[in-house]
Amino acid sequence: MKQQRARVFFLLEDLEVEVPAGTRLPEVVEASGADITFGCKSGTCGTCRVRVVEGIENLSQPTPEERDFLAALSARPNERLGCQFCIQGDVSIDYIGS
Amino acid sequence: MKTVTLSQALRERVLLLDGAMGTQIFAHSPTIDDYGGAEFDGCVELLNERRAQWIQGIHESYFKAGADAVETNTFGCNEVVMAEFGLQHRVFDLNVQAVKIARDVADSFAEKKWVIGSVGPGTKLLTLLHVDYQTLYRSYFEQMRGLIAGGADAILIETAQDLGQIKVAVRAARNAMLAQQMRIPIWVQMTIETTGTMLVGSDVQAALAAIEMLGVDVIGMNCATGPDEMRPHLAYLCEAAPMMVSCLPNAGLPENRNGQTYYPLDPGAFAQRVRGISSDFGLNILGGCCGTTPEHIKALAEIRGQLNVPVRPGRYERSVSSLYNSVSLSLEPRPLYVGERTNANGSKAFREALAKDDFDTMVEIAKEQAKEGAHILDVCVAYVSRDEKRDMSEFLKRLVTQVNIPLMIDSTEVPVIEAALQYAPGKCIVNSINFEDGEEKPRRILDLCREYGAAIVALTIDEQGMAKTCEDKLRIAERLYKLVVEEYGFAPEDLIIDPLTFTLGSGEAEWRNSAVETLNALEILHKRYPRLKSILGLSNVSFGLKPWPRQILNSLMLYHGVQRGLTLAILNASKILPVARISEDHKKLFEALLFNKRDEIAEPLKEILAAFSDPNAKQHMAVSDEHLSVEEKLKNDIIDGRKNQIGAHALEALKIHPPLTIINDILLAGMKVVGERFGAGQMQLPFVLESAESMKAAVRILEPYIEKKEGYKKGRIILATVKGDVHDIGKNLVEIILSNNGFEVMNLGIKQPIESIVETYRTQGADAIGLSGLLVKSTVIMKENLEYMAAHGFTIPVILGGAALTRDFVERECQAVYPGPVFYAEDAFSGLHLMEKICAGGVAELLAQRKTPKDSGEQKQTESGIVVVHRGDKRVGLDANGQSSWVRRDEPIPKPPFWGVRQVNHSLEQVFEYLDEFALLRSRWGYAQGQLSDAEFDKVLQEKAYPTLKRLRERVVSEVLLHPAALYGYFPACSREDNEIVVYNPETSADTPVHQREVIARFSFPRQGNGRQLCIADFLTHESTGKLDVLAVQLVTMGHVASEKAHAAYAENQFSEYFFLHGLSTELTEAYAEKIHAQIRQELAIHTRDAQSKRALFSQGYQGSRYSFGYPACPDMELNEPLLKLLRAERIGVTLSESHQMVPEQTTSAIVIHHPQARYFST
Repeated sequence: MKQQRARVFFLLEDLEVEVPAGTRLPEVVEASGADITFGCKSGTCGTCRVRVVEGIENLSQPTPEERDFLAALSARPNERLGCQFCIQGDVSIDYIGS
Repeated sequence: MKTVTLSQALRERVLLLDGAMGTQIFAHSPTIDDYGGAEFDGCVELLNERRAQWIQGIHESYFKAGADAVETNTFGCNEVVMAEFGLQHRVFDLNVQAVKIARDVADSFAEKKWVIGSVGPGTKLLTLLHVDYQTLYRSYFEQMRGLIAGGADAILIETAQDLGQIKVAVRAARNAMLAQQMRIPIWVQMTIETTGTMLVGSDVQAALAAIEMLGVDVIGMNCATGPDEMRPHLAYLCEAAPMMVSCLPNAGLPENRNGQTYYPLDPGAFAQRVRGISSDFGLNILGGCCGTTPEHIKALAEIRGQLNVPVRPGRYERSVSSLYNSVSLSLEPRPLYVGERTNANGSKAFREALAKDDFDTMVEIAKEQAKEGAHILDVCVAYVSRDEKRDMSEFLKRLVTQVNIPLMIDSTEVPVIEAALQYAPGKCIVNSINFEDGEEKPRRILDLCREYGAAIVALTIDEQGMAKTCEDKLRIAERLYKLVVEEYGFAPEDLIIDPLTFTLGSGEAEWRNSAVETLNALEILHKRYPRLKSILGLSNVSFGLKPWPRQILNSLMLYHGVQRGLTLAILNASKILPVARISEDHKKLFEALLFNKRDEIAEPLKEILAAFSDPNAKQHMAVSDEHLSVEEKLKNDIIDGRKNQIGAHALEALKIHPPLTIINDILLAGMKVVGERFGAGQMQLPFVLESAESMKAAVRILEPYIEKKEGYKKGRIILATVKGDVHDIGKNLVEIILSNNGFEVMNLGIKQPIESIVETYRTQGADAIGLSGLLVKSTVIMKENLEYMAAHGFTIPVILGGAALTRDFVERECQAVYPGPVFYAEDAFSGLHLMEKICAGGVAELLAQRKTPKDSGEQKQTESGIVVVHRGDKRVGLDANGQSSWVRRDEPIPKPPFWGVRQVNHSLEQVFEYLDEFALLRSRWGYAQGQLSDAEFDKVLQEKAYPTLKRLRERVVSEVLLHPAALYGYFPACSREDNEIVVYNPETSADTPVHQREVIARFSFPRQGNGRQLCIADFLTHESTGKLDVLAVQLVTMGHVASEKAHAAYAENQFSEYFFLHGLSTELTEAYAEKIHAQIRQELAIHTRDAQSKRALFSQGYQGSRYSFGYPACPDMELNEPLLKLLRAERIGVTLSESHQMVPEQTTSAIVIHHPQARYFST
């Protein structure tokens, strides 16, 4: 069976990466050297907060922890915690931690 | 020439203002001679007098570019700023001159041109107490007098950074106009930083609420950012503001290019963006700020023809505001909770703190209420024999920056109310007016509300006294409405009627119907005046009763009030019960009292008093499973973690089954359910630990009855934390889960060299070896251990676990060096799953499973299938010093209050303030929601997590388990080549050149290989600049007692207590680090950027960064050695282990960088 693939575009450094659909962002960052930093990886520290410039519908739904964390932060609707989602389709991502 | 007024022009067209003044002045490169002396260097307002022709030329160039109006060169021409040059006495003259210069140029054009008097923010922020109210007021009053006398067509209060300052300036402008008997429009423009708030933290909604109330003619934005960044805020203003909106952006977000400020938008791009905002949302006034030129204005003039004069929808929902946020007065679900404990008459703790002038404690009480869910804070400091006005000012000065909810100023004294309104920056509510002594006093208070922009609470009291009947309440409310809304012109939403609440607790016949009268009045009032708001002092209704019945009666009164339209309620939010939680019997009883219904219950008050003779009685129902079989009971004991009754049930079961059958078939079946629920996200770790405790308790009862001790275990594992690593929480969790699921665990402890691990294996034997570790370095050690084992011919299965590991690293790199199987366990349950398989001969199956994902998919570019398609050339270059050119080099360097290191001690309560409860509960304690519904999870939090936190908090305080101690300080420092920070001896005389200073410590950091190519050193000034920077350092410890107690709990099989205590003390160590860091920012005066919510603060919501060694930007733990030496850490009992980890365990160190671009990053 042919596996679906998706493209992730990192705006900060003009980096484009192709990944199998369902890949988690930390794996993409580790493999490509994108300039995004992770902290607790459990959705409670916010170090990996990113702005999804395009394709937010192509990410897996937020976990309750991510939802509650971002709500408490009054984050904008296009912000996500990088450690909490899978890539399911093409997205453009900007790092907020910077 | 047709005479058009400015207001007419604004109705007919989109008005065009000018661009930057400063940039144009500095293009003349003014010299000391131009200013008229070295002492006046930089005083551009003096140039109105000394170089008037320059200013004329600038105005002329903007008018020629197409501007309808120009701003006078008076941005800093107020007493506070001019006093810095000794020129405060010239303020009036210079403002008059500046207007005249602009007026002459304006009048030289054929078409009508206008002159706008520019009023800048000055150099001192009122809300941060850089200047007192009266000084700032006088300073602006003088400037306004000059601008009006000179003949300005409008006053523009611009680049406003502080709501407090806006309120002073508007009041000064109004009073100056009154004095000169004329009226010109007042415009206000705020500056919103890239952080999304004004400098002192106000968001645009809070600003609109406060400014709208001042009755200004135009609201808008200028400076700090370009049109793109302003766009979302302008979208809100254009939608919400009932007045006209202006937009004067910078020519883009300023960039640093080779040490020069550079504005990226050329005139065409600038104009297109402004046009975009205007055509999308509708602007009334356009212009430019920093970096804009006559060419930019010309470009705006060209696009202006395409824009229509917008119709303002003014959809602003009337609100009140604090310095930071606004709260809608129409917020649903009702009511708005008004916190009642910052009241000297209502709270004993508050009164006692007031008596001691302990304003810090008073602020704490305020913050607690905000935390408990109050929307608005009632503040009352009236207390006999004290100076209420002074107390109010002193308290508010400290309070307003500390709470993010709006204030209700509770006083009947006019001077007190005025003092309060001067120091409260947002839109407050004044509580209250009434007609007890006629109309004179309420009128004076309403004048103040209008002058300072506040809503008003009005009580239904008149010359005849308090209104008791519905009829009287309505009559007085109508009189209040006429005065406040019809005569004073307040919006109906800003009038909040209090129809009065009286106690039902006295039993006196006179008051029995009082709640009914109040509720009826509420209902009719809201029908008659739908926009009007109402308030009740709720707890009055139950005065005289005991605490628990008070809660029930207050909650019911609130419920019925809200049904009838009640908007606000003064109450203690934490003491309100949802009506659904009140039993039907109680509801019936208390409603009989509330509604004075005596048909069924003749004496409701007497019955209540009798039923609640025990003040704390709260009925609760025990869940019964008496009907279940003993097997089912035992299984439930495991699943529900009931360790107190499991022993009895186990003994009961022994009468039927042999002990091994009970363990294997019943208890382990229960544990299996626990594991499944955990895996499915239906059960959180603390509950799993309680199940494990029950398992342990049952097994201990059963073990003496097992005849053949050997052989009932499913298998054996040797567990150890690897060499150089002291972390054992993960390993111990594995032990708990495995040992309570039928495995034998040999837990060797922490810092275990591989030699002793294999020695245990050689002598005792095992089915697998489990290696654990938290540090990044430990992953390397694990691989070395495997190489050692391979070299010595071992092939036993090895399971690796730990935070820094990844599956890929284990299954590829670690597996590659070891001939036996190597598995990755991401948590304790996957360790259990692995052991089940390994001991059932399923190693091959496990290995086969992990191969599958690799083979699927067509691309095989990498193991993971991740391919870099394009790596752009956006790589930021390095500058001449080898540092990232992304980092700005001209950031101001703060002045520390002292050099060297100081020791501080704080109480545990102070540390708890900074506790990140979210991280503690969700991450460290494992209360993750998983697959639970919101309601189910909320139940877990309310019934389990928060009570546990409360209990542990009490335990660590009462048993003094934590001993906070800290060192922090400041050192002169610079960066050097080779990615290094050098720290200089602080005791060197100030005039010693940087390169001759004694270096007392060095820290070297890695640099990113791509992206921004950052290195921590880049954030300090380079030594070659000759400018010293400041490096702050800190060290906090909670002592060693907590760790010892946690381990004692572990040894006694109190698994959950061990886990809770460990998690709490670890998170409190972080909290203390956060607190000291906050203190450092305060002392460096960079705290103005601190986020208001703790959540945001804990997510680096502040200027600069705190870097601890071992994290991605600075992974080298060995740097703790020079750092601890600088701090002389042994003073608070902190030492380093041979692997450079700090002892005690609950200790954390950091270097603190103030540079605004310093954030976390990975190298």
